[in-house]
Amino acid sequence: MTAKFAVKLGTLGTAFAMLVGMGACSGGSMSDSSNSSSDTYVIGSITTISGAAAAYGEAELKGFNLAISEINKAGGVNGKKLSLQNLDDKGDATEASNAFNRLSDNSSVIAVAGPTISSTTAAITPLADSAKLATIAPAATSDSIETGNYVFRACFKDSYQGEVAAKFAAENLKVKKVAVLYGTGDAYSSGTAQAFIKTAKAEGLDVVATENSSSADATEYSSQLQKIQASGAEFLYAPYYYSTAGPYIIPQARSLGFTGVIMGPDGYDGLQTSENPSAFNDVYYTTHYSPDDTSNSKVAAFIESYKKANNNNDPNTFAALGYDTIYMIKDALEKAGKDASRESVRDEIAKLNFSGVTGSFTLDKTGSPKKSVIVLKEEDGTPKYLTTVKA
Amino acid sequence: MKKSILSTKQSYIICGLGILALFGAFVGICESGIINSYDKSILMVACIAIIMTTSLNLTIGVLGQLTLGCCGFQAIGAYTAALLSKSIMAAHISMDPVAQFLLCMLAGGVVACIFGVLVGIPALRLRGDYLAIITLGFGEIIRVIIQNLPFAGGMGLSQGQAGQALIGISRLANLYVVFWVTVISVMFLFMFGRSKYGRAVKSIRDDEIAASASGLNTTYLKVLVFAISAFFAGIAGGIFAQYIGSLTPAMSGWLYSINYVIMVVFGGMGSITGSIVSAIGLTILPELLRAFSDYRMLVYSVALVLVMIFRPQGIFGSWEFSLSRLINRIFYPKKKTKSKDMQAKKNAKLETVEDTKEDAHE
Repeated sequence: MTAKFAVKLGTLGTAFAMLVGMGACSGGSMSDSSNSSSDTYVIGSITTISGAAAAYGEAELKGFNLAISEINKAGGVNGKKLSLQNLDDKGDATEASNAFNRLSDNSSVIAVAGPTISSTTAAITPLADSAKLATIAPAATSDSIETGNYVFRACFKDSYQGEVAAKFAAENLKVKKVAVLYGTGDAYSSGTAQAFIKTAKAEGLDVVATENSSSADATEYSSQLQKIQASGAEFLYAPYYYSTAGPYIIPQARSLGFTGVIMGPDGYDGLQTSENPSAFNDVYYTTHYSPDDTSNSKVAAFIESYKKANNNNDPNTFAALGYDTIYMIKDALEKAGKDASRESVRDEIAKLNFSGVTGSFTLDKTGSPKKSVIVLKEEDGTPKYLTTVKA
Repeated sequence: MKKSILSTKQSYIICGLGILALFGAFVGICESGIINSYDKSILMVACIAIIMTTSLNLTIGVLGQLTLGCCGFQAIGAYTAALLSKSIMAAHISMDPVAQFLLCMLAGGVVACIFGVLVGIPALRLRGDYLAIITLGFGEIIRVIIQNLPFAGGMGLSQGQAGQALIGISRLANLYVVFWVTVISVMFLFMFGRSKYGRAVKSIRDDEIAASASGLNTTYLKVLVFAISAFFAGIAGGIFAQYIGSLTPAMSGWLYSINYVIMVVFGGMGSITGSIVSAIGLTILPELLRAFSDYRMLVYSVALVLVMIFRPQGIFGSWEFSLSRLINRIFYPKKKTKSKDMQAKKNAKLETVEDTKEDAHE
């Protein structure tokens, strides 16, 4: 009986693996040009284009490809063309490190863009340091990956968003009493909330209520929100993902009579507001990039060329970060000059003063950017660009 | 029993020589520069997979109990090794890297073994599907606890996880040392399967009531097998931690455990040879298929489905490779066909017996 069950299970697992594989197939075009001649710089990339986080990796890859084709059309870097060698990591740490070793063995790979998510980035960090191959992670926001050696990132980290939100509440909204609601079971949610509380106290705000849920995807928040409502808070910081904040937290808070500002992190990107758009007025969130950001002239050009290359689809944040990642590598290659090596590219990335679609920034000692944060405000169901909080 | 031209002693010597030859070839390949560090990393992952698969084979193939929590024990081993290695580093104790590697790895194995006993005693009262589900649950519990432990990157059990990766583990895993650890692990597991304990365990697999009636302490034997299996999973985890240098609790998820179960079923339940071949094969296959880029996971899955359809008993069934038997066959080529026929007849007979038994169960 057991043997039969095991075989059944094996088949089941196989079927599952197949499903995951099917996910990979929706990836679309991919340039795997490992032919290395002396007139091209090969940029390696590790992205998650199959598995649960595939949507992020695919968007990043589109950003990479767009940036590379633009650069090549404009004549390349130092008279050489760029080419991309992309490897999939399935969102798995072992696969990511295998992929990284493969890239670092290829001596024509000058720098790496990726990986997509935080856990795979943590896995390749020691490899990047020992192989002395500079790596820029476009969107790995976890605080736990910081080396400042050979690994950099193009996005701000989780705690930074919390700090910015607290500053925004104190300086722009000029509120006094703030409340926090977060999910203890989620690194992203608890990390940003802790950073918010710390900065809010430093800014002189009164944190009147700190409530939490056990996970970041619970559906019932009434009891916590009632306490927040009773505490007299004028501002609620609720770092959750769009899938929880949209259908549950915000409507529940509004139905309990909370009329103050609700603010969240970049996880609010994609809030579904169709059912009751007016409930979402006075909802703010911090993010990396906004298509309506008129203060940044590069955004309009990016959207236009992205739409042209991708059947008129709008780019999302991951595509924008991926696009900037390649331009960061390009700038570093330009500065490193004709005889750019892996080490010199790394040094130039560390010194970079970069200006791109997701803002202008320099990298700090730990390889993370001190960059401007975009604040969006929901207005009758659509997020509108409000302001840019300068670093 | 068929007479062998080799005495027991001689066959041991021949096996030893075979392993040495394999190691020689291994060193030759690594040192001559035929393969690069990418290929070496695949070999390392394959060695870890071999230890995991052969140890899991002991529970699934020899004891006949399906467990889905092997990666939980691997994670315990990995985190133990990582934390020990980090504290050695923090205390500025200078050790020979190989000694430190082995010490951390063994510590991982021992701690995983202790947890194996703790989990095994209540879990092994159940059998079959129920045991599978309970081990699945334990794997998840281990994952959630690790996620919350403050010293493993979490924020404390009452505070919730930070779920952060544990980073900065010394990457001491040396391919040659790992090779010998793998050889010793496989040798131990193989010899255990052949020992009187192994035969007792096999009798439990075939008929637990009969085994118990013959005076075997079935609970003790089941927990023993579970603990040994957990020990080697912990060893594999210890190697993994010191190879990859950073850990996330996600590694103990049930999907990873299923992956190893697939390897055991693919190679043939009860066959160590099959476990080794499928561990190597299924580690290398996804990497070879990178050429198919987008379609690689699809091709991998189709390969698995085809094997399950055409060889449901796994590639090797319960067959074992034996060097001394190979030599015997070279010297007595005629007997080969005869014994094969006999073997086939015997198998057919066994299968009918097994079928009727299963029918009776259902």
